[in-house]
Amino acid sequence: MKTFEERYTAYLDGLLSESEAAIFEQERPALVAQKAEWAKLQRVLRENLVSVELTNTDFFNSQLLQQISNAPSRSRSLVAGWLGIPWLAWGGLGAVTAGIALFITLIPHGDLSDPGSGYVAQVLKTTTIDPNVSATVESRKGITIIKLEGLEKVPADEDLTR
Amino acid sequence: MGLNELGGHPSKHLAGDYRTEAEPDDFDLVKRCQKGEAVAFDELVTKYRSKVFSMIYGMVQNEQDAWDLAQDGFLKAWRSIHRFKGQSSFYTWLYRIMTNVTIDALRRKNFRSDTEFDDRVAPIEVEPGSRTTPSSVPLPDLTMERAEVRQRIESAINKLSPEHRAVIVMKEIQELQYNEIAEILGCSIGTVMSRLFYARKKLQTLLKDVYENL
Repeated sequence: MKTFEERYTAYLDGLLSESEAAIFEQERPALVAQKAEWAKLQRVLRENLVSVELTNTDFFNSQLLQQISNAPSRSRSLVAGWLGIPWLAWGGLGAVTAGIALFITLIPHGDLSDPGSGYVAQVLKTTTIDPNVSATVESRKGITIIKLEGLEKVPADEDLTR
Repeated sequence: MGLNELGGHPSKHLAGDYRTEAEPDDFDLVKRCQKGEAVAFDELVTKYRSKVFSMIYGMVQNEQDAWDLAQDGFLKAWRSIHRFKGQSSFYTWLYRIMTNVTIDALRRKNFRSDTEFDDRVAPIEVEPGSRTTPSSVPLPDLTMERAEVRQRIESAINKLSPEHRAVIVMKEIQELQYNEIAEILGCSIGTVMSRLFYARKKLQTLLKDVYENL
C-alpha cells in the first residue's frame, strides 16, 4: 500500500487492518467524518441505482443471432482471407523475392578483378624472403595493386617487367 | 496489504454464477462456439445478457444505448471467441469486452441519460404575490423525491470520465472486488483504487446536498 489514494480507498472500504486504520486516522483526524459521509452517499447510491432489467430478452437474442448469421463466419472469412488481402501480400512478397533473385544473378557484383590476383597474393606471402616485408593485393575496377610494405629497395637483379 | 486482502473473496457476480457450477458448461459452450455453433453462443448470451446489460446501463444511463452496446459487445465476443484461451473465466473475458465497448462508445459520443437532470422535472412554483423567486437549489428541510434523487445521481455519474464510471458501477452497483475490476479493466489494483478515490471524491462533491438532505 503506497499512495494516499490507495490507503484512503481501502480505509473507506474497511480493508485496512485495525492497526493500519488507527494509524491512518491518527495522521488525519478528519477521516472518521469523511468515512461517515461516504457511507451516507454509498447508501444513497445503492438504494437508487438499482439494476435495470433487460426487457424483450427473446428479441435481444434473435436480433443478435440475426447479426451473427449476416456476419461472415470465421471459416468463410479464413478462406476469403487467404484469397483476399493475404493473397495480395503473398503475391507482393513473391514479386520482391523474384526481384532479389534477379538482382543477385544478373547484376554483376563482388570482386571483379582478375581472379588470379588472390593467387598472386598467396605466392607473394610465401615467397617473400624478408620477413619485414608484407605483401597485400587490392583489386580496384579491373586494376590489381600489389603493395609491398617494409621493402627498402627493389633488388637490382629483379626484373619488374615479368 | 496483499492482493487477497484487497480483493477479498470473488464477488457473487463472478463466483456464484460462474466459477462454481457453471464453469465446465461455459468452457463446453465456448468450445462449441469456437467450432462455429451459434446455438451454443445463444446459450451464453441468454446466461449473461441481463448482467451485462445492467453493467452497461449503469455506465451509460440510457436503456437504448445499453441495448445497442450489449449487442455490439456480444457480436464482438462472437467474432473473437476463437481467441479465448480460457486463461480467465469466460464471464471476466466477456465483461472486459463489454467494458471496452462501452468506454470506447462513451469516449466517442456523449450519451444522453434517459432522465438527464432537467429543471422542468421539478417545476418551481412562484406565489403570485411573492417578491422573490425561490432558489432552484433544494431547501435543506425538504426531502427530495426519489425520482429527483435518482436523476441527480445519474447526472453526477454522467459527469464522470468513462474509466471512473466503470469503477463506480463495478464497485458500488455490481459489488465486484478490486482484483476482479482490475482483471476486467486490464489494469493494476492500485489503479482501480486510485480511480475509485477520484470518482468517489467527485460524486461526493456533486451530490453533497443530496446525501446531506436525506
